[in-house]
Amino acid sequence: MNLVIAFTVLGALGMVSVLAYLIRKIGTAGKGLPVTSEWIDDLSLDRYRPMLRMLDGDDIAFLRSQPGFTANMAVKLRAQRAQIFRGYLRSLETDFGRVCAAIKLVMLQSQHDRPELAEALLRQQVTFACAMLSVRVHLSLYRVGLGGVEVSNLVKIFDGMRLELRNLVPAAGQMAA
Amino acid sequence: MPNADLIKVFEVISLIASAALAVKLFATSLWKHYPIFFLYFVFRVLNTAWPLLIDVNSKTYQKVWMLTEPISWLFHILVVVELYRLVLQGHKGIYTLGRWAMYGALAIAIPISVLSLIPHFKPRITQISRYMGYEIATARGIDFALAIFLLLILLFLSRYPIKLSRNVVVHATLYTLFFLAGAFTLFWRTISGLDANRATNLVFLGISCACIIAWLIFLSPHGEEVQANFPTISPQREKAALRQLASLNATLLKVSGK
Repeated sequence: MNLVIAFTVLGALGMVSVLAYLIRKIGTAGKGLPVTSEWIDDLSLDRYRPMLRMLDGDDIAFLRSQPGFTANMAVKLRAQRAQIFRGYLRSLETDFGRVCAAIKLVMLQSQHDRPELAEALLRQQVTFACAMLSVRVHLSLYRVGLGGVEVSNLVKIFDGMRLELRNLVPAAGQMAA
Repeated sequence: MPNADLIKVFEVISLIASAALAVKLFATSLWKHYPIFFLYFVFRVLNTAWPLLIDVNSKTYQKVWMLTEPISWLFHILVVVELYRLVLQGHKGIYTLGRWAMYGALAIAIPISVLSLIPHFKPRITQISRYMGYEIATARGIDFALAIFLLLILLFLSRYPIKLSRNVVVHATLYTLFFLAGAFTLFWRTISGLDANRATNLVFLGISCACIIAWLIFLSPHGEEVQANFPTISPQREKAALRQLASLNATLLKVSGK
């Protein structure tokens, strides 16, 4: 009985802590927003291009063929690349979050209901979360020397999504105008 | 001071604070913004006054309590609906999204609340009438569901750059604390039986008095003002923003394929 009461009290305190955290978060709403709306246009994806080659096994395969290149050097190289890659991922997450925040702001400032924009945003967020999880799994595998995944399916998914978005955006623009 | 006397003191404080809050809401015209909340406190004044006049061990007390309790539940639900309406009122762009969030929150809150009703240690509650037991269980379920609902709605709102008025934040915080206090003290009473009746009453009255006094202090006409310094983003820019999201996802998907 006392144990049940103790758990009840702990549960209540846990919920009060969650409440305090959420209220604090609402109080600091908008801190991650882009400073100006032009930031959206200025955001360049060029800085992420090195990511595409970073975990490529070709470099290490080439180095292996060179005299004096040891297995330990390969392990060290993988660890360094994984560390740099994580930095890119953090930056990518921040940029993605800021663009999402900008879209949320458009929705909040809209004079009309925007269900289609909400749906597009949710879909993008789910896609991003799944892709991020996949990348993290691959990164862990890369660190232990395993890797290699069929890329064509993922690209197909992305292409489908991109076409869908293209169809959606003009309609959304007209509605808001 | 014995527990029974302390309970009386809290009941009197609750009555005075509720009456003062109702008067303040009326005098400051805040009742126009929060009509259900205002009516709830008018009802609360009456609902706190009558137990001071009737013997708590009498049958009349039991009957009046059983009649007034469902009215309390109805007010609890309506004040939360009023709060949610106030939050979404100024944000037409997320009306549908807000509705989805509400359905989602209800779909989570109701089953959790129903599950919390399972423990009811029968041997300890045979002392009270069956109907009173059902009413206590229902009250606990409703309060717990409303507390979870409010937490989930706050979670949803915390994901958006929304600036809420201080009054709305005060409302959301105090309602959640108030409902949590109600749910947990009733749960404690259910598992401990009538032995813990005074202790649970004391805890609940103490927390509810603190909430009412906080409402009395923090709710003000100034608290209705919203100060938001968010950049204005034209609707035309959403096209660019959506493209950027797609491009970021494309980069990530390409990377994940390596």
